[in-house]
Amino acid sequence: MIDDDRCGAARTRNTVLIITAVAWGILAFESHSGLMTHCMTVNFGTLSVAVFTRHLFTMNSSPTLLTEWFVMLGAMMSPALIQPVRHLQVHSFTRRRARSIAVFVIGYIVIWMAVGSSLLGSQLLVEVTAPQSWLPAMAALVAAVAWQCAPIKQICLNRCHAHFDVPVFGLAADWGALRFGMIHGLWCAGSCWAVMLACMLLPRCHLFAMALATTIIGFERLERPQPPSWRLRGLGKLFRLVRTRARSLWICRGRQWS
Amino acid sequence: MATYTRSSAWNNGGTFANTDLLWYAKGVGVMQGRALDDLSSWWFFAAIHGEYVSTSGFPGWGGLPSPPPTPTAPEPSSGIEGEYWDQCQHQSWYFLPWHRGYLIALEAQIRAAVIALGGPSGWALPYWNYFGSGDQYKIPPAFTQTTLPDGSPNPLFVAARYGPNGDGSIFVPTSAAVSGGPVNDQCMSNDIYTGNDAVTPPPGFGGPSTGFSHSGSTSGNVENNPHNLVHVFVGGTAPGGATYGLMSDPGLAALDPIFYLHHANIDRMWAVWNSNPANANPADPTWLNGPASTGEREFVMPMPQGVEWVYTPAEMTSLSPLNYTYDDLVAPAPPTNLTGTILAARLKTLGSSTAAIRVKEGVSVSNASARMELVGASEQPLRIERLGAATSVRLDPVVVSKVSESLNTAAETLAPDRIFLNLENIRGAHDAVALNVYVNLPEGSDPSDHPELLAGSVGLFGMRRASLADGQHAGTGLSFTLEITRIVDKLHADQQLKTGSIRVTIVPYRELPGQAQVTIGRVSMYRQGRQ
Repeated sequence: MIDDDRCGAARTRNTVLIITAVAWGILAFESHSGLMTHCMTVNFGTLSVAVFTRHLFTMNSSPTLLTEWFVMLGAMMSPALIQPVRHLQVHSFTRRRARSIAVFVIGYIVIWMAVGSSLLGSQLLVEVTAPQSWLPAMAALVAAVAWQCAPIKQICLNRCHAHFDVPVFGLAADWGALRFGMIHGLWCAGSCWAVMLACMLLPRCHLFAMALATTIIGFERLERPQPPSWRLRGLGKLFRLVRTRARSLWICRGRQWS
Repeated sequence: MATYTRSSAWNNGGTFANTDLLWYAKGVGVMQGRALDDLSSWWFFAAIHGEYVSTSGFPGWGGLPSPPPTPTAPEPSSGIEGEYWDQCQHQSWYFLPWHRGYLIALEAQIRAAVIALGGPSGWALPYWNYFGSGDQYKIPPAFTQTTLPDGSPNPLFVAARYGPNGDGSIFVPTSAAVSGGPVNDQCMSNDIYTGNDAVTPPPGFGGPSTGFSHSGSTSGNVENNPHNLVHVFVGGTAPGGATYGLMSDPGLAALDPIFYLHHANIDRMWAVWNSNPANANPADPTWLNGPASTGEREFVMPMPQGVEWVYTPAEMTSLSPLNYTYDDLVAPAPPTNLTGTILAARLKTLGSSTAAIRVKEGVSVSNASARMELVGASEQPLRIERLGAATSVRLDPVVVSKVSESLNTAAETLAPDRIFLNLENIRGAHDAVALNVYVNLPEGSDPSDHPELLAGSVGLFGMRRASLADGQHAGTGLSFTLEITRIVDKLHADQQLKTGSIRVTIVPYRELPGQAQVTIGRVSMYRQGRQ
């Protein structure tokens, strides 16, 4: 169905953006107050590996890590959910909308928590083996750039734009929403895992790196699906937007025909 | 006074006695003589609309029947391809303005060739008005001749043009051509470009609000009928069913010279629609400034002498600044109080005869803002077989009761719910398909005996591209919205809405070939009304 309810669409968008803002607020507060325990700020270089590891896992208990991951997910990935959530709203019965969206989000989070466990494991491993080193972060950055340019990245992005034929009755509706959320989460994770890992392995400047990554993720998601190929992706839309605005400001359109 | 006047292709019987057609043929011949990577070639212009240059097998350009002898090399640089190719706007509110600019550019190239050949400097593209009198529903005969009057090959002749019955007889099945012919110009009674009201079904005359939409989801009303249907009927399916005609697919369509005459007629219809002061184009800056204003691709055309022309919808809203006009821009007299007439008919069906009379007498109708709400949906995807298919749309009793209450309390001061049938996510590989959609058609009955149950007709132009997982629409397929208010009113009056479901029957205009593989992801019903 054509979604011509602009108010409804705006409400959905604003709600998601508020959630995003709250998550960023929490991250900023944690960063400022030093509560991001998995962001290494202590010099463990003088400790033995055994003592260091025990200390590290004490500081980074699973619930704490996963909670922080959850907040990070909310900050970075929520804006990418506006489109599928709106799709679910429009294609569901009014009284089931909240339930379907909740189930969709659960499916999405389940996938990302599983992916997050792997990424956090990698992060802890790096913190154990190369604390405060920029080397792993640089290696992850190179991998992220390669992934960003690879055809498979485009395949993941394209699948993120795909919509499901949503069932609407009974358990089939719940299962459909869960499946939608999980599949969307899988392609989303496939698209973004590398850039998130690069952010996590940085010894410093996490918040800045995450903000940059969120900008890239947001703008690349606004691009139309394209045939998979090797090319640089990310901020193209932002650049085109700025160029267009600059053109309209300075009226430098030299390509008129009459 | 405009410099360029587009005239009917059927002048002088639609033969080469119509010099517009003769010079068009010669100009097309010149453009076809240029290489694919020449920005002024016929092939490059076809690729601007859409292309399958590097696709292997059908519909790859390398495997198309000749004429025309379609090249696949030499390809231009990837930068040029990225700037110009695969630009056509479909299932979008940019459909009309993008194609207006495209016609002007093609016309400028043809005109330059015509002038170089010693032809008239004021040459303009003719249009094919298939709604014209007599047998103008047929393709102008100049397009079916294999040679020009001088005996040379006719560049307007195309081998892969099969027609509605797949037999090479090319016509548009309007009601003048065929009893109950599905192609019509009912969209001309719409009064909203994007949106809907009592006389304008969604998504509006011109199409839904989108970004750059080379392949989208839901066509505007003028795009669905007549545009899409004319494409799939003129292109048609090849004998044997393995392939289809050029006109049936956006990636092939502009290889066929009849394409531009069809679009000139669509463009003329837009101009006629605009000539009614009650009809306005969007004032939204996003529409006026085009997709480039939101960081997407710009509309750009190659003009003669290597000039690059960038344009926006705002520049396409009126023909006169563009120095163009048509020889026939006469709009039929708009019916008076069409909204009231429709409501009066509904109230009569729903049993409120007194209210119906008052509406006819001019009592104002409340247009309280109304929202769409899902009423029911099919529970499985529907595969369309050779002869069609049927599915049950299960209705939600809670929402159905809202509909029933609205219809029960229908009054002249408060419009009752409107009801829409949605065909969602139609995917497949064979674009040359037109489907008739019926509601509660009795099993085993002849559909032609029940025109009152016909919800509408849809042409699947662009389905193949919209089904590609890595295409610009992410494989989501096409969707259509058909208004079925009239049918549901009758069901309600006959107490048939309480059965908990409606039956939707899909009947192809012509038997589908086996490889069409058309599926409808979901069939759903929506209400629009007071909450």
